[in-house]
Amino acid sequence: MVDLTLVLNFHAEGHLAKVSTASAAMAVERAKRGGNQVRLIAVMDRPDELTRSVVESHGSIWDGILECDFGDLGLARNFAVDSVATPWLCFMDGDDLCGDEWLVKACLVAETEDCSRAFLHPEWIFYFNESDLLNQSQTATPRPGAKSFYMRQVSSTEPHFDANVLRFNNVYTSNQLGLISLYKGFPFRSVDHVRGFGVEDWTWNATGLAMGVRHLVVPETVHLVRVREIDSLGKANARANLLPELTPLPRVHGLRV
Amino acid sequence: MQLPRRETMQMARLRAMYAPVFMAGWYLKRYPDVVNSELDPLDHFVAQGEKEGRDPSPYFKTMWVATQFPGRSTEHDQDRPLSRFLSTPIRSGIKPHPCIDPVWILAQRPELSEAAALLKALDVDDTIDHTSEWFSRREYATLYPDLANVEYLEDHFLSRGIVEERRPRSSYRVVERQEFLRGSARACKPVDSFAWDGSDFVVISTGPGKEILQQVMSQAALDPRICSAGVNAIAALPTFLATDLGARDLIDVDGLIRLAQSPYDAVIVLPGLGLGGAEKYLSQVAHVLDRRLEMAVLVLATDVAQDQVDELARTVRKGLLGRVDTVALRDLVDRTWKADQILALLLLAIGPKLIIVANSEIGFACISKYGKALSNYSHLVACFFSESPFAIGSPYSARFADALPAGSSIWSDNAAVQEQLGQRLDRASGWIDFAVVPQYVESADGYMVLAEVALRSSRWARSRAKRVLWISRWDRFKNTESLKRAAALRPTDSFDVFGPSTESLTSDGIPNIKGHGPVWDLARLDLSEYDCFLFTSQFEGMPNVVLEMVARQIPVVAPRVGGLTETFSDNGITFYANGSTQEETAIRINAALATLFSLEESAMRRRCVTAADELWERHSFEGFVERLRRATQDVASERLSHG
Repeated sequence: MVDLTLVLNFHAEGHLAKVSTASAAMAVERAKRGGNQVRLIAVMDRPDELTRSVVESHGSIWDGILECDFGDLGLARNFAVDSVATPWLCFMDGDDLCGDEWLVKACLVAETEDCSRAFLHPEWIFYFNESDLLNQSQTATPRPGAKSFYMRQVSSTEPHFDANVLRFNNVYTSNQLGLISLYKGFPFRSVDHVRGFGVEDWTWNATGLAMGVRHLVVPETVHLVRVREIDSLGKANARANLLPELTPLPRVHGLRV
Repeated sequence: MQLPRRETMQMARLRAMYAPVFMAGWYLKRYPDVVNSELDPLDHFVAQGEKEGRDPSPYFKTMWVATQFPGRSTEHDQDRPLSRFLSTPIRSGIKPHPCIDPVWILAQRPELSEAAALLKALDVDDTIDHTSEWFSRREYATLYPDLANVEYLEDHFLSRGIVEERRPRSSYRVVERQEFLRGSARACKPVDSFAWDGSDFVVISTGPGKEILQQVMSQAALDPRICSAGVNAIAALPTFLATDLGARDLIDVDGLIRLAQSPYDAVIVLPGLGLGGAEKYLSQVAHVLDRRLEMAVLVLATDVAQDQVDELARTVRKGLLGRVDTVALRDLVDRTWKADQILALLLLAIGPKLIIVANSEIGFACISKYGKALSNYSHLVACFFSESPFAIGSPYSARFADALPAGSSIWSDNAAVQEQLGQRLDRASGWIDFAVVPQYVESADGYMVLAEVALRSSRWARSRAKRVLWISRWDRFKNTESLKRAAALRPTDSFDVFGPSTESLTSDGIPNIKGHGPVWDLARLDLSEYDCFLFTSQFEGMPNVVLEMVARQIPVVAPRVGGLTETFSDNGITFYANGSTQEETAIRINAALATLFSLEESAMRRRCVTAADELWERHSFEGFVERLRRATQDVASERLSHG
């Protein structure tokens, strides 16, 4: 049995927060039926009016609604780490959805694997791009130019995994499950506009890998990431021209973790 | 021929066993030679066909099945794969055909628990669609309408479909093992493998499995936008392995990682290594950083392919780039839409002391967007050579100069452009550091120069018809219209024009201009026949060609543009001022030429010597080294890298 808090991070998700909340609640119920103790907490960082309203209107779903004023996703995640009381913590962005099996299967792995220095991720990420609505296929074959896609994450323990790949793109999404004690050992960095660094999850993954933290995928699980034309975190980073701070990655060819 | 009784009995047993699954019509069509034998098709198969490796139906590959029975069992089953298959429980996992998985079929159709019934059903039961996880008759036929008349789809796929790279189902592919291990297919999950026709194949699921799709679809009940790409198409959307950036971001991640491992002190980013002045200038910078300042240098060419880079480094820039690594960034990131970001990540990974950018759109986009982060570890240098409202070259300085992060430097080969930039960039605050580093000019072959000067001098007084040399790129920014008009004003003189786009030059009614095409090696051009070098241009930085002509001691006529007057006085070069119209400029060129040609031979020679003295005063190799040393001294003392 895993004692877990699922934290949903909100900022300006608006109506999308309702869908994500419902998705999270389904996964939590499924995990509870699997014998786990799961709490669902909302962390709102400088939420806009609509987002606050949507989140608060689902008051009965939440085991807690926390608010902070950082305007920084990394610091909001650290705030969540410091605020929850369970030994395990899982993050989910407030406009994503998670597959029904993610939490319950992740809890099984958490019970059986040594996770003292490992974070768990869903094996599959489904990036669904709303712009495909204008290019929708009616057949079994996607239309040319379809932007939705699947990405399969791989464990850092797999033989062909090379941590150097993180120098050129992030290879793990931020919806991960791990021990609070491990999160506390690897706090997220805030965006540093003065030095030009940001992209907190990429930097965090690189830092952890360099320090020997393993990233393990939970087979047959999926997370759904909404790709929005506007207001997405990735686009905000792109607009701000921030780079991940990858200095912890050692200069060793074929680095294996 | 009379068979022994024991054999006759065995034949009869096999005949009875095979009859339900043997397809006589197919057999005769597949093996026409059997028609001429006196044997019934089934008898033929039992008597010899099976031993010869022939198939009893399109659903049973005799030779392939035999490989699944590595050891020999009973004597009577020896060389009898069909018999052994029919006698083996389906759950043992023996397959009759690479596309047919009896265990999988049994899971869907529990009534087909006998091997013979299953093989028979494959032929007669129209409701059988999937013959394995990865082969669907309906999907295969739907995907490829040209197969409408093909009767045996599994057989077609095996014999032709694989080679023709057809998919057995929309979300599965069959690839050779090599491709699976090395190519983008690594992104996909292997679900099966088999050897066929001398090759090893892996069946890969190009999308997530059924369980994942079910989880995705259950979320679609919350938000239908999940199915934006089409509810039926969702299983066949592209799949990427997160770590396979080659497929995901269209970059050569292995090549980039290799570069990122290298401890370069300086990275120079430029478009190519061609004949352009900027490219030559940066080649000189690379040469001196490498040879004299002992920095490990990487030259990244953003706009040309590696074979062109290699060729140009070997030929045009061979003396300068001998030891310097030259890499075509385009081959590593050409296909990606975020080349500037990938370049920034590469530079961040290398962490050189110096990053120098000139004339490269990707390079300037990189340091203007991500310069703040890069400047934590590297000193950024942008090279701008000229700026003019008319100008090629000016777009880079106009677009990127004021986006440089604090502490960056602007280098140029002339002070004029820095004065122009200084009109809108705050120099006093020290936000940007400015440095003028004029290029160096290699000494010309002394004997050749002496010979050319002597021949020119001997001809100077006696020949009234002069030969004028012009070398540049033939475009309007080079005031070619003024050149043509000046030539028309001097019909007795002849104008030999060299440079890109001059080979197809038409006279436009001006017969005394002749185009010759580009000059790949100025040092080998015989100047003895020319009486002067004429340079025309609306704007410039510090034109190399003028410097090289002065080094050859040929009289030079040039406009007062760019940095020319920083190096040369009126005693060395015969200057003219560009006019406000092409016509006015032409008149001034004509006047300058007339002034030069009116000089006594000794005065002409004095001008050449004076110009050469002025050249070496400012453009010597040692002077260049010293200026570069000063420009880089803040960064040369200590590696700023984070390694």
